[in-house]
Amino acid sequence: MNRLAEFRIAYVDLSRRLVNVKTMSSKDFGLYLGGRGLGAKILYEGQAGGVDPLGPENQLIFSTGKLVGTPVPTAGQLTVTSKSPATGLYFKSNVGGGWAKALRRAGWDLVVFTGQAPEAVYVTIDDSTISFHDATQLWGKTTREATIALHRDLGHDWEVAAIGPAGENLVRYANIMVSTYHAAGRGGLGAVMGAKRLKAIAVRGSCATAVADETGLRQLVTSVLKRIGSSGKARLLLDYGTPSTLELVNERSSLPVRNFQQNHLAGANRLGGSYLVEKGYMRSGSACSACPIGCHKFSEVKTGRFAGYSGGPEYETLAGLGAGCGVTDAEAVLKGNELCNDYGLDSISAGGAIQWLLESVERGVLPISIGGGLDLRWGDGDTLVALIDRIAHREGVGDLLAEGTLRAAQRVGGDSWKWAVQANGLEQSRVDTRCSKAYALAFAVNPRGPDHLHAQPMAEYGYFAEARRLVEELLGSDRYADPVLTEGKPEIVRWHEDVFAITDSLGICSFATTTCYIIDVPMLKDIVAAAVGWTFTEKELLDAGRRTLVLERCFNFREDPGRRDVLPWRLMNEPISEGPYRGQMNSAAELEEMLERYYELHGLEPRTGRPTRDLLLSLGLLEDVVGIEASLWEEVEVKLFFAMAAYAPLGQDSASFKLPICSRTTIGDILERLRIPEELSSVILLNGRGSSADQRVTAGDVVAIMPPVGGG
Amino acid sequence: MSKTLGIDWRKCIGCGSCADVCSARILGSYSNDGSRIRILRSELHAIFLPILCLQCEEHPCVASCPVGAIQFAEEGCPRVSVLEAVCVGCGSCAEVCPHRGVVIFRGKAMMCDLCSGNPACVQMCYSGALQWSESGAPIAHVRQHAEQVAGFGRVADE
Repeated sequence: MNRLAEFRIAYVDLSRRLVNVKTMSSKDFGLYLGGRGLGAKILYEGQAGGVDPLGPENQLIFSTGKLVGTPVPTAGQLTVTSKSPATGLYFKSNVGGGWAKALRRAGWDLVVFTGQAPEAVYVTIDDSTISFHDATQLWGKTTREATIALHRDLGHDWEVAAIGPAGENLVRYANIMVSTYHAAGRGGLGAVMGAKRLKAIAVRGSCATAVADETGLRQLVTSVLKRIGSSGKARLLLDYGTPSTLELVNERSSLPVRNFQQNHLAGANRLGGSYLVEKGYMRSGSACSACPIGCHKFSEVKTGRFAGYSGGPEYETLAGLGAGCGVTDAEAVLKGNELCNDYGLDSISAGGAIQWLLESVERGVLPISIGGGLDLRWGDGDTLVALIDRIAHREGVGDLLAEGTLRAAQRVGGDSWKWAVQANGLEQSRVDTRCSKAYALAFAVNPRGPDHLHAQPMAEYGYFAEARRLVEELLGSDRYADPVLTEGKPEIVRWHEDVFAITDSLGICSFATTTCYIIDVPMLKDIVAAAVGWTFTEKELLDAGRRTLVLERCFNFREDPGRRDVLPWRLMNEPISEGPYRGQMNSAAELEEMLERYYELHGLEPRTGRPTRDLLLSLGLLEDVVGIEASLWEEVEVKLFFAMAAYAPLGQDSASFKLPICSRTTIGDILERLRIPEELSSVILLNGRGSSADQRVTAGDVVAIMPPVGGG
Repeated sequence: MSKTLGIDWRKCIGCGSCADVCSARILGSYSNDGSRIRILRSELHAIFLPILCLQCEEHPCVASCPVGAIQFAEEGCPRVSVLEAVCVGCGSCAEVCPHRGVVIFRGKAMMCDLCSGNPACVQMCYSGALQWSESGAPIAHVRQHAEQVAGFGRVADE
């Protein structure tokens, strides 16, 4: 019995103010490692498909890894897991800071929130004492104000996770801020927290973090530190943070500008890391627990209308709020960053929504007056700042934008969906995947949507020696380290995904294992043995990561059987218009080619990417995860008669074709999926007998649909 | 010339690993307690200040001790040391230390002992905030550190 590998979990029911303590056995460590992996399993098992993301049944899971609390470099990560109000799918969001370490020092591995508080509440976790407090005084405060208030009331040794006005106002991309300036971003998990009326969670711990072999672990830590010391990429991150990426991307003409319409922006270097540091806007910030890379920055604008200070910014923020909107005024973008932090708003999606708005006005689909007096044009820093404010408070046009580009475009209509650069309801991260093919594949297969925090296959550029070495190891030659090649990219993506999943589940940072390529899988094996006293083979460790990836996919297919791995329409249909990559596109044919190989590597069903029964069996998921069968697709046969034949899906024979279903699918769902309007009052036969829209179907059923027939 | 542990607080990024490995020396596990080096933190302003005994020339701790449990040697590593058997844990030394470098742990005063010449915290510090050097901590630097520590309460409380 290995106590170090067991999990102590607090289930907090916000509706009834009850706390239930559960232990999960070390068997789950062997299968899922913890962190993201365990979060995925609990999310899947703890709720049925189809729950309202903003309702009481949706769980909000805070989980950390077994390395957190030790000095293993970068061991400070927290994973927040839930069903996203933006995508309606599985969503995990990682964040650093100091909260995860405090949770572990309080003696917990995970906290799961369910239900919905009747009034605004904040929760304290003081070692094993979990209490509920009235948060009326905190509601409405920014994340920073709320954190300061809690530090004042409770003490400075508490770690705080909080939502701001964006989460309170259920903005679909509201985030959760941790340790004042660190963001658990994307996907609207802040809105899930806001819907539960949970304003903040403060944690403090006095326990020690024990390990199996302290001397052995310290030696491993020392060797990792040596590798960090000789890593050029790590040094760049310490000195300039992720903003150091921006100059490079702009120089390469792959910086998304004006909603992915252009690829280079004159003056964008004024948003890059070296400019910001040189001009005194940006300096070293607060490192996450145990992290020597210390990429997090602190920025300040001392005078003028954009004066202020905050943590960050990150590359994505500078690219999304700045270059993406055509704004090159660093001070305006820094203000935008500060507001996003204070309001608890995802800067990538906010940037995407604002860009969608500006393009809609540019193309005449929306009148400029929709801005309520704002100058809705590219490059205007004051407009940028004002719009962020309105989004967070759902004021004026902010209410439309707060819904995200998918829903906003649905409401506005016309062609505006074409420039909603999103897939699944998630705005794409600021990477032009049309000229970065591994990223294109990674974005398409990412269970949360088209974004970089799933694989981050930076090796495809071959910028650093470690990256080229990795590509050569995987494919036999470093010639595959060429971003516009599609060949070899499935293998590159798979390695990165595997390692990313293990990384997130152990509670360390993807910068150490991917990006800087400092800690590899053999080292992780040794580190886990010393820290947890658990011996994995390399295959067992990789399988633990794979289990998580497949489980995430299962959750999504349980929600939506017909879903496919895609990219935003613009990237799949409009080629890059300028620069050295002019003409490049993520065409359907090109994407399908990479997906085919990717599915093959993973043992997923060809064409659809669905998990198969065999795959679940081989990973032990079939026997371990309760209800996993609900994610396996079975099919019904559909026959469309007479005029109904027009509704057959493209390429399918209307006389008879197969349609995937899940255990909840009704005939009404099928009619909706085929876009057959209600008014047609079709005659429906299920297995030859008259039926109706509310009837559930099961595998093997035959559904015949025809227009109303009359006798004669 | 003996080596000293210098602090360049402007380089401290607050990762906390120095305190974790220090506590492991006594506890065998990583903890907020039992560490001779601690970090004053202002997340709000991203300022972090490592505090520990700097083996300073003034060493007011020695005179403050009512039972004579603290000694200061002209040479050696460390120069300041606590006789655990004599110490009664009254905390007078902690109060007078200008660097807040004294920790009262399990009823006894505890100060950095430089790990007898190979400080564990320095090994963990990649940013260079903690330095183990031959040059010795110049008086001005030590005074500056004391000023920072004294002024820190204001910053942290905002």
